[in-house]
Amino acid sequence: MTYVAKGDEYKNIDSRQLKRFMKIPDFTRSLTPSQAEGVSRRILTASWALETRIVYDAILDGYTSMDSLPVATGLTEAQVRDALADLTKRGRIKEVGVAPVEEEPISL
Amino acid sequence: MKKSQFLSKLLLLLLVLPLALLPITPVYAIDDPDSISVESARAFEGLWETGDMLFIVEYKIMDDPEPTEDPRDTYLVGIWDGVVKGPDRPLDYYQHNFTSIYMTEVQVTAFGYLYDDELIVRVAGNPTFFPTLTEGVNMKSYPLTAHWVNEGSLSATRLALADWCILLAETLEASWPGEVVLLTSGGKLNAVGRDKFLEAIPGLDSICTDIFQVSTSYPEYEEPTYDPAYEETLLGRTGVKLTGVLEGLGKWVTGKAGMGSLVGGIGLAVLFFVLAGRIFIATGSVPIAIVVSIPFLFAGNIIGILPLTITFIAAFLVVVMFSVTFILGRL
Repeated sequence: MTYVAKGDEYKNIDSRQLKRFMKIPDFTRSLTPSQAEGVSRRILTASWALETRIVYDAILDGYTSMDSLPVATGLTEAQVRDALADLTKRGRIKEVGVAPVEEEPISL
Repeated sequence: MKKSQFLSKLLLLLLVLPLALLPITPVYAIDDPDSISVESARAFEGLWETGDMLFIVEYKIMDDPEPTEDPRDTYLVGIWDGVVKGPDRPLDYYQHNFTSIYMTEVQVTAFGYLYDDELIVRVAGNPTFFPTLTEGVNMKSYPLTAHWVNEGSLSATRLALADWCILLAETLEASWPGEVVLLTSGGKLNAVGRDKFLEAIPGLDSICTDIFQVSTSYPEYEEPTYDPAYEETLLGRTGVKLTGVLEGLGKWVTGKAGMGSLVGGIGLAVLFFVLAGRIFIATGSVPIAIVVSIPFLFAGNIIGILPLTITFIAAFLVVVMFSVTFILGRL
């Protein structure tokens, strides 16, 4: 499965230009909610590496574990870890830890 | 021992001090773009004034991910005459966009540019960020040969510029995502297009008003002309005798010639206030006294002592005063 980072359809226009257009009422009024979300996403993520954008999109779509992310994104584990570290540094995600493992008593 | 310690400390100081005094120069660096190109360029001569020049440059500096450095620091567009650099302007955006450089007639003369000169438009990285500039890597040149426009008059060249701007808008619309619309269905620049084009070409709306969906223009005003023929006719009715009497009186009072109309006007004013005073005594009302006395001024117009303009001004002021008094009295 190959994950395509959302907002890449905006790659021909500088996010600064988009940001300027977002201040024009006629422009923002003309956007549908999904278009507005796409524009906002592009403004936010334009300077991020491609892998980081892909992993971010996957997390927002519900893939939140190290088991599912490489599969969903098509990236290697190392790439996913690097992207997660980048996102953590940017304050976009936070590691919430793992569930405690309960030991079952041994019965003879 | 102490002396040797002192000497070693002194030596250390002498070694460290020059380093501390060296100027600290920050080092900037940015990766080369994924690709760089000049898609189109046009040079217009004669737009705001005869002999001025406007260079419009459409470029692509494609970079993914987008650099965090401000493009105004990292790239610029310039006009080159061979190896001599002319005016330049920082770029406002990466990716696909356009900008312009304007030169007044005085600036064009100072640089020695002529129409159809073999000038080059060059989009290049800022040497502060790019230690080495390489054509096709972080720099792109575009010869202006065959891309000059001068239609012979300011208005015709402006029309050509308007057409080019619409073409540019269509090109950008096709390149940018579908929700970024610059043109109305009628082919004019909408609010977004207006913002984009005025940012790239300041003052464009003053010479190409028709390409904007919303433009500002001043209403045409025709100054009314007044024909004072009737007033002059009335003033001519003074008659020789009355004029002579008034002129004589004027000279006797003021010692100067040509004071007849002044004396006549004062005399009329005195009679007007006497009449108004008499009416006031009879009615006890100032407004009534003034209003009833106004027609007396027409008598002065008819015999040619008082200009008709004065009478109408006085009547207008009375109406205003009466209206204010009436309205305020009611409030």
